[in-house]
Amino acid sequence: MKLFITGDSHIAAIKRGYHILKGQNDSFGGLEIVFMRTDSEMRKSMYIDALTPKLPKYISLYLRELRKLKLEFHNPDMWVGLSGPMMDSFVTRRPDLDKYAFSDADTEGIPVSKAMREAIVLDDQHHHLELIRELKKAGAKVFVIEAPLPFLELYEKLNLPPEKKVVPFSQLYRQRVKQALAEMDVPLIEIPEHCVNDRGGMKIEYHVGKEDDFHHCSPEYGVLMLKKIIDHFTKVTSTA
Amino acid sequence: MEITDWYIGKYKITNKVIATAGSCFAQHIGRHLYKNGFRYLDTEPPPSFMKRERHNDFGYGIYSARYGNIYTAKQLLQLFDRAHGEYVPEELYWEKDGGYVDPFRPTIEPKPFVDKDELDAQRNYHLSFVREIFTKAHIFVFTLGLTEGWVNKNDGAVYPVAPGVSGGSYDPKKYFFKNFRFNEIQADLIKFMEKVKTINPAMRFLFTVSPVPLMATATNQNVIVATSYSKSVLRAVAGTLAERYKFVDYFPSYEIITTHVNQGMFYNPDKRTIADYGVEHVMSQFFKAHPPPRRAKKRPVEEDDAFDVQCDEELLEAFGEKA
Repeated sequence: MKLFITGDSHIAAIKRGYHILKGQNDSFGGLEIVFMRTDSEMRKSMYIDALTPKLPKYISLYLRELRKLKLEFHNPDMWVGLSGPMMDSFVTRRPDLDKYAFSDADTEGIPVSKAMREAIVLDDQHHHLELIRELKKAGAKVFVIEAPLPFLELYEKLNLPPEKKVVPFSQLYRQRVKQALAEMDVPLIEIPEHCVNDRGGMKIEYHVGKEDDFHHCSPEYGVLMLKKIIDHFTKVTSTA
Repeated sequence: MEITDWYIGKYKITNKVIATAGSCFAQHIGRHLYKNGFRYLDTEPPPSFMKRERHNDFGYGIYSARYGNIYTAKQLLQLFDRAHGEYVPEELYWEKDGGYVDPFRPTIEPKPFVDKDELDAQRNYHLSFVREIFTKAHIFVFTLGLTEGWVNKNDGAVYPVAPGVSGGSYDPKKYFFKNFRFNEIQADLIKFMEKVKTINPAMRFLFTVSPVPLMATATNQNVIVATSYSKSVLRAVAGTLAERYKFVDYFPSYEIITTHVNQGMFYNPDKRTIADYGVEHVMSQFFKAHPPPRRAKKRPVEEDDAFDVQCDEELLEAFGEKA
């Protein structure tokens, strides 16, 4: 089985994890793993500008790049793994998040209805969900790698209000995307449970360590995530 | 033939804070005021992280608060009273698709609220902004749209659409159809203005009449005849009030669009909705009397093609079925 792993900047940790394992002569459960690079313009448009009018163009470029890597979309032994869906930081890192109330229980702030929350999440993820649809339409089998949860200690440094606002919004954000992925029959590889702290954020020891970086994970986390991916697909292979 | 001097303008509005409400044609007025740098009041802006393309779907940026279309004078008066706690309607929720909608703005969100608590939170928050309008605005622009409405028999609540169309269910024992008369509309608007002036004595009012004809009528008349009656009554009320009060002005958007001289050229091919160039023409007449602020920069708004006027009048077609 061959896995093409691609997506946003969170791929970097997984790729570094891959090299760590490779250095240890890991067999990757017999899976062949390929990381696909994207040029910066495509990456920006594909993974940042959710509602760019150029999105269809970038999706077709993306599919072309995958074909160049000899990805046979209809081959049952090939999977495309995407990071990016469930990356909530464009919303959760907004400094004005504390102005809003995201649940009935939260009485402080501007009430945001469920319909509004859904619209915000689906708009923020529009590009990823479109890409998944197009990939599936082309015959590819797609899985999603969950993006890291917020590092709450770092949000505090940015004066963002983690417990009251960031955690509940991040949870409902991910819940809605999970629903969308389930509707498209797309498997999701979730963050390893032991990487999550009691507060509902990423454990700080898995942070990449750069001072000016508030959401990327370390290669050690990449190892753990990659192992989870490998576990998932070796099980798929053994039950096939 | 170019007709000029449609409108003189009774008082200056250029540097005043302006709020808008009314039937769907009023959306054009607010949008053009904003676009041309007027001090257009939007008390209830969208969440900062909501995409601009979604604003209209959730009733943002359409009027000075998220009240949706207000077709009748009675609705306007009741909105004021509801916002100020002077009137609590007995029916506060309409069921729809397993959730609830606000009977007074049933299409304000694309999906029903999940429960009554969510609806209450949204409504209370919204009404606080309605109150803000009447304290902050200098000019209140209201476009009169309809004389026809649906009324709750028990407490007289007037709804923007017939019960059962966008939520709730139609029950002839609970609701009745009413075609408001000149005296009733005039009395409602006078009462509304008196109430506003107790809060904001300097408030001025600018009335217009929507040139958009009825799509359907619940009367037994031909819809064109019903339209003529409705618009005539509204026009007469607006004119009477403008004549009677120094603080009331009337802008003839209705006449500019509908005059026989223009041979219907400002309508879209559906002969009902107003073409963009028609709206541009109306507003150009308005700006002759009220030039945009000198230092104001033109503000970006959605492209005209993308701007979808939120009009419940299509829903009013159901009126005919219920009559």
